[in-house]
Order: sequence, then C-alpha cells, then structure tokens
Amino acid sequence: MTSLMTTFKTFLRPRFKTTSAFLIATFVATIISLIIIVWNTHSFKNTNISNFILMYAAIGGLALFIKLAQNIEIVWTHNYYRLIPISETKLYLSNFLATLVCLIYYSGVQVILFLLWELILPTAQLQISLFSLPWLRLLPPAIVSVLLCLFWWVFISLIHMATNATAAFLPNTRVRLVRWLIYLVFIIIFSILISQFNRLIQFFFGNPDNASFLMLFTGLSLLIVIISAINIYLLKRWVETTA
Amino acid sequence: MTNLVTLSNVTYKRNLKIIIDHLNLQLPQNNIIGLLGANGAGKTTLMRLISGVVPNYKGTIRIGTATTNTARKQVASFSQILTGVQPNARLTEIANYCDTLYSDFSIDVFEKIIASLDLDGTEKLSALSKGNRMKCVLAVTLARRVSLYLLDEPFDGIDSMTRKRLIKSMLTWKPDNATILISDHHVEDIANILDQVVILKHQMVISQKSAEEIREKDGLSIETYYENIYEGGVDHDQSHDNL
Repeated sequence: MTSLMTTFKTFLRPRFKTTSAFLIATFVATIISLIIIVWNTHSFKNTNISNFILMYAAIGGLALFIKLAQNIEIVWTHNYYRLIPISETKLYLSNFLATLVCLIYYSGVQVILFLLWELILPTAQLQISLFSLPWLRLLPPAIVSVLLCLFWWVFISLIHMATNATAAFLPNTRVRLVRWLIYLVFIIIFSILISQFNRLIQFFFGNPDNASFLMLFTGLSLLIVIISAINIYLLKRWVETTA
Repeated sequence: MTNLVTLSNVTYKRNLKIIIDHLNLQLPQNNIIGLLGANGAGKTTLMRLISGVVPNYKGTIRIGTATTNTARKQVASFSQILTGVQPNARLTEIANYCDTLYSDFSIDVFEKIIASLDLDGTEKLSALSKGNRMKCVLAVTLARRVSLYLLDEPFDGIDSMTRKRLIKSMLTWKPDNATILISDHHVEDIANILDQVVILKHQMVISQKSAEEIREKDGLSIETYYENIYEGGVDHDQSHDNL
C-alpha cells in the first residue's frame, strides 16, 4: 500500500509550485504598481509599499484559496487519484495536509516580507501598532485564519461529496434539479454560518483575549473534525469517480 | 486452471437503474480475456468494480487474496488511470507520479514502451493526438507489474496500423502469469490473441467460453459467435459449460 507520507509529498509538490507562482505574482504586481506610482507622482512614500504588499497578499491569497480548493476537489472524483492504493482516510488527510502546508507557506512568506519591509523602512503607525506588541500575540489570529480556511475547504468538500453521493440515487432526469436543491440547502447553511462566524470573528478580533480565542479555536476545530468524519464516510461508501 | 478474479453475486445500481445484476464471474490466471457486449452492457462498470473505484455495490469481488477496494487497487492496473490528470502534464511527469505512488510501477518498462511506440516523454498530454494518447494510456497501464490488467476499449478511435502496434506492445509487456481483461468493439482485431471470451448482456454474463473451443468445437469465429449470442442463436446455458 502507498503510505500517507508518500501521497502527501506527491500532492504537495505541484501545489507548492502553484503557491510559489502566486507569491511571485504578488511580488511582481507590488513592484509594478510601485514603479507606476513613483513614475506618475515622482515621489516615494513608504506607506505605499506596505499597503501594496497587504493588498496584493490579500488578492493573491483569495485566488490561491480558490485554486487550492479546486486541487482538493479534483482528487475525490478522478481515477488518477482515487486509484492510488491507499485508504480513503489517508487519501483525505494527505490531500488536506498538502493544502494546509501550502497555505501556511504562502501566509508565512507574505508576513515575513511585510515585517522585513517594516524593519528596513519602518512606517510610524505600524511601528506602534505592530512592533510594540509581543510577537506571540500575533499567533492566535494567525491560527484562527488558518482554521477558517480549513473549515471552508472541508465544507466545500462536504457539498461536493453530498451532491455526488445523492446523484447516484436519483433518476437521470431528476439529477440536475435535485443537485440544485442540494446547492440551495447548502447556500442557506453557508449564509447562516457566515453570519455566525462573522459575529464570532468580529468579537474575537475586537477582544483577542485567551478566552475568546479558545472558544473560537475549539468550535472551529470541532466543526472541522465532524465535517471531515462525514466526508471520509461519504468518500469511503458513496463517492464515485467520473467514468 | 487457477482463478485470479472471482465475482460472486455482484449487483450495482445507479440512478435507479440496475447496471450489473447478480453477476458471477471467474477469470483464470495467465489469460487474455475479451469482455464483449453492446454499448451500455456494463463493460466499463464491471472493470470499474473490479479495479476498486466503485464503493457502493453488493456481493464480493476478489483478486487473488485481495477483497477490499484498497487492496484491489494494489493488484490491478486499470487503463482509466489518466482520468483527471492535468492536461499540461508531461509524460515523464505522469510516469514519475506513478513511480512514486505505485510500488510496482517500472519507469524502465514505461520508457521502453513509449520508445517502442514512438512517443516522446517530454511531450505534454494535451498535445497528443487521440492515438498517441491511447499509446500513453497503455504504456502507463502496462508499466505497472501486477497480476491483472483492465483495459477498457484501449483501441477506441485508433487506426488499424496503430491498433496492431498496441496489441503487439500489450503482448510484449504483459508479465508472465498476468491476466488481461480487455473490452473492445472491434472484436475481429483482438480475436486472435484471446484465450477466453466473456459476453455481457442484460446486466449479467450470458456467456463465458474459451476461444479455442469456439473456433475448433463450434467452428465459429469469435465475431460470429458473439453476434450469434447477441441475436440469440446460441443457447446461453450451454455457453457457460465448456470452461
């Protein structure tokens, strides 16, 4: 049998390349934007650079989130991945682990670059708000952000697997209709979750104390574990590849 | 003759339709077996079931001692392996991917097969013509050194010259004692290499007979025998007896 580590490394390699490409793209975009601004205004303001780094990191991050979600989903329904002699649990874990590592890599590099820039050419405001804080206090928001991304990925997988599994029990003529009904149900659940999370996250980032962090951390982790257990069950028993 | 594959009472439903109905089948070791049947007879589904990519079926499927889906993936090589591969992947990248994930994959055999079929390993999958893509599929499938090969219409849409080269390749690279289950619409092309014929109709096996017997005892070509079975000219019960 193929091991979890081997599968993880195999999944990681192309995704790492993709993530690196996204990182390069955000740097290039930042530099080009700066050149254009300096060219047009004939002035160089340090705040521009920090703003551009943050803006492009966010745009790139969102695009990477979608790209990695696609990479996750393709594994569930294609023979190229499902024929690997590995248990569904290990396939699931290796798929998510590889994606998680890429997310941490992307976020880590962006944060390091931002902080490096702040060290080289400090921005007065950020100096006060960022460097006056103990570094450890940056950790809880980072963990919450990673957990949030992971939560949405497992949730997207749940939608995909649930529709795939349900489709097998419907007559061909009704598949499309029921699929849309399932999407509708999930969109409603999605909207409720978004509003609940929004409240929790606003509360957490407004009061980043240990209690609110622990509450959010436990809640998100629990949800990820529960949804993952359902996903693995669906993968093992019902989710088929496309012929 | 030792049986390699045993299917007992296998039933598979999808979209409220029975695709395979209480199917029983035994395939011997070291044979090339033709799986024949009209469109929609269930040939591809049967191969998918044996390969281990279909999770929700009733009955038992065994390849040697392997009974679980994961265990069967380890001992069978299925020609639908490239479903879901990135179109811009190069042939060498696909081979490296398989080499990492399948302990029985031989890069050396893969390179020899693609060289014998005039394929260039640096080419991208998306750049290949249909014929060359089928050559690649065959090379990847046969480069695994396993006991069972499931070739689902490997010559579909291929010109007769290429078909002959692929058949030659298949015979050259088949390991000793391995069994090949091959489905094809052009019965006459593979008739000469078959040891056995399995005919699917009405969601079940309606005939399984050795090729030699069909030719010598019945005095029929495989193609005529197949057509007779489908038109009801041969007694189905008798056609199972002679194995």
